[in-house]
Amino acid sequence: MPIAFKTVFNKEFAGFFRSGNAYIVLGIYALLSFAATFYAGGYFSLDNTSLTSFFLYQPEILIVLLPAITMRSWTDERRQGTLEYLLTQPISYVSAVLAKFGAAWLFGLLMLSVSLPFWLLTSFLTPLDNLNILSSYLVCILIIGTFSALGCTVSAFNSNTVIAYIISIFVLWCLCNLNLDFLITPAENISDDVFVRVIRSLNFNKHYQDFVSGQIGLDNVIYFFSVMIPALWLNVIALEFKKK
Amino acid sequence: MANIARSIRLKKNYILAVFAILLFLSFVFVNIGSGLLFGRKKADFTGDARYTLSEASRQIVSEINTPVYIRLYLSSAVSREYPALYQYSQTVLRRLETYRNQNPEMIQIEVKDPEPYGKIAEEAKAQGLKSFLSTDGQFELYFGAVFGNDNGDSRIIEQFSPGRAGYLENDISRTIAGLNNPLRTKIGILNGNLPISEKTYGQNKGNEWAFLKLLQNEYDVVPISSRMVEIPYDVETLLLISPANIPPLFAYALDQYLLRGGRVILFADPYSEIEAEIYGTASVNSGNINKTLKNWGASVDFNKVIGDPDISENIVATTDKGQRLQNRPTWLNLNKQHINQDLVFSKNIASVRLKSPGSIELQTKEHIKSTPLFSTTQNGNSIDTETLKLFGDQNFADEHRQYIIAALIEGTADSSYLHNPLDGTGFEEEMLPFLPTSIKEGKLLIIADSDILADSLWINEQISGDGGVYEQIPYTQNGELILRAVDYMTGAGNIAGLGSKQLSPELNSISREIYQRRLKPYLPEYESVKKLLEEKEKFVKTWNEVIQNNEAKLNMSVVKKLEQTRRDIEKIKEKQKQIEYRVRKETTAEIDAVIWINMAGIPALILFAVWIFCFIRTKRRSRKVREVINEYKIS
Repeated sequence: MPIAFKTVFNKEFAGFFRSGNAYIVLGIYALLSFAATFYAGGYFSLDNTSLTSFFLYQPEILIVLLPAITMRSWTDERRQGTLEYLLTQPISYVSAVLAKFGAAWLFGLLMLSVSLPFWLLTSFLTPLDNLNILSSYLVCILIIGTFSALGCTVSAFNSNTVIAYIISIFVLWCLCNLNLDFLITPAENISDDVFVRVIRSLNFNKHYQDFVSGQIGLDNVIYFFSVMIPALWLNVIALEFKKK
Repeated sequence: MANIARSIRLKKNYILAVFAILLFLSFVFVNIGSGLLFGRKKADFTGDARYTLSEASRQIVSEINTPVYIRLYLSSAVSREYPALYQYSQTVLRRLETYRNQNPEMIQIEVKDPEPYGKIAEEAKAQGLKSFLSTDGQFELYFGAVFGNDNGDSRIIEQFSPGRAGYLENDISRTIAGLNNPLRTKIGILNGNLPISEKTYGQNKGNEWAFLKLLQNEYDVVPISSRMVEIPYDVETLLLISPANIPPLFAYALDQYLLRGGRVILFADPYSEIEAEIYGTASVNSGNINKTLKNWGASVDFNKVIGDPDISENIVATTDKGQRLQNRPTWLNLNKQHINQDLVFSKNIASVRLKSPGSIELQTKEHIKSTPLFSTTQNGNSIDTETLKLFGDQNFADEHRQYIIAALIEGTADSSYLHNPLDGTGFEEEMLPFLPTSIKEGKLLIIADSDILADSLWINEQISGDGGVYEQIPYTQNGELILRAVDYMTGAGNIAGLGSKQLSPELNSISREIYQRRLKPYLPEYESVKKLLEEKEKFVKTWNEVIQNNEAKLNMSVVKKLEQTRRDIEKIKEKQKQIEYRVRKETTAEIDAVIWINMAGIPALILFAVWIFCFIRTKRRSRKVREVINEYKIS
């Protein structure tokens, strides 16, 4: 790992904890996730062999919380005037972007790990389909990566943290909820027509549900990376173009 | 200068916007491409391989020769009214998609939403789907499917039930196989004394055993009388259920049927406990069927009942000294180790229950292949049938040997007869000519137990009720084994390979699991209270009916006894409620504990651990910095 990348990554990751932001986000994530699981997800009444109740609201919770982590990644640098200093160091734009994105992704994983004891505890209450749960965690990891990439990119375009946070939420909400399903009737939803398949291939929820139900295809994995990679690329271009 | 800077900024923003649009387009096209290329190829990441079709199912799907149209009727209100059922509906949809992906040219799926009082609801009703009421009882909801093809054939799954989740693939594949071969194969049933169908005893409803419903769903089941002198040639398989005493002419018919390549499933029971339960006594088997079996290298010992302490069942029995766990050595619960897993129809059968079965002796014969299907462990023992009937199942002979309880016999054999018994009467001219030896390979499956067929041994009657096949919730695989055995015998080898993925008698909700666990310590008390209540209520009901029908005169002692019983019922009900309240209270407490541990306990611990880690790291760094400064000062 290049030293420059490691330095920025460490600085960024430690920064979350120095500001105290991390503790608040971790606490709120646990509270929201488990409140959704127990009170809205029907944890006690549904068949939870795949922890369906827990994964039911994860995208919504991550939409709200991940921008709180990524909103500062570039806006703070710009606000404090350290962006130019950073970019004049012997570090490429790509490394800087990847380091900040990596730090956000790792923090997201740490956030998700709060739920691991819950997995263990539930296994004492009911028999679990661990392979299916693993696939659900895998999609959460990919979602965190995707949201982190988009959040960092939005942050690169803004100098105000609050605005970056709000725009990030809006962009993530659009990604998750804007789809072309209105072009097909519910009856056609599982049709095999090429048109229907095209429409469904752009549906975030469909890809998420494929993972959660334990049916993973290459198209599902490609979907998340097809957001992540262009977003990071745009982040790099944005830095190059936005520098004074 | 300002204008130039502004113009450069605008140009930069313009290029950025164009670049962003290009990236968005790349996202769209990459996903469309990957969706079209890889959309149908999915890896199954479930522990029970939920989305992987078995070899048998894949073969059935590949054999489809005319397009199959699957119309799934799913009321949208189900998601609101019954979340658990909606959750299951998504599994069904995905499962149907798996079938479609296997043969996209031949399977088309359409989802229909039968809105209450709408045209689609009427259509669903007309197709024969079963409706169920919304939680407020106002609307009829549907969750079933109609399978049809271009030939005009159609089959339905009246209602998908989450309790049959383990049988979902089995149900869908059988339905498709039914469309592939719309002509139903004829099978015959000769029933001894067990009331397996309404036709037997002329009752109007609710008298068909579940295994019979299973067979009727797949086959054209015809009754065979023991007065027949010839078994119809179009009967592909004959089920002989507990034939206590076979008339000589029917024995001849059976002999000739096997020699002509017939297939017989024989349930030969030394002691039918179900028959004894229904009629108070079980008929004595004369054992004359052994005359027919002899040439096939088999004989059933009707004088002995088999027990095995290693695979026997324990039951909670009420004795004078209260509730006790009692071992029933003749009630066997066979698992994979005692069921032959190499036969097509018994592969993956992991649970079969039997009551007081007999044993089969197999002899080596030329041209005959005998394969044991069920066997005991090396600890098997036997008990005299009459002793068992009179004194119970504790006095076993100390034998410790392995017994064969069921066997499949295939091959050719000689007739047990030298000529047609009706020779010289003139009737022989109307019959098929006498065969001294086999002209085609026959198949004979002998199961030395008839209780295997009883509903109480394999389905949850309380949940299944009087419903159809798709409402049966099996907890052992007795029914599945019988159906698959018939499939195998009739030559439908690919269907015989279809099995259940798992037995899930009920929906596993965590609150139910906690409730069941908390109920366990109270279970003996609860069961005895429940039993007592049932007895008292039955007593009151019987007397009420007697009084209403003026069958007995009312006197003071009866009135007093009835009053006393009613008071007892109130007391028992209160006790039952007390137990239920206690269990519910403990369940709620555990649920609250689970919520608090997950929502507050664990996150707090993790946060504390992270804080401690950061704190120690910062302290260590500060110390290092101080050391460096000190070193600098010293130098």
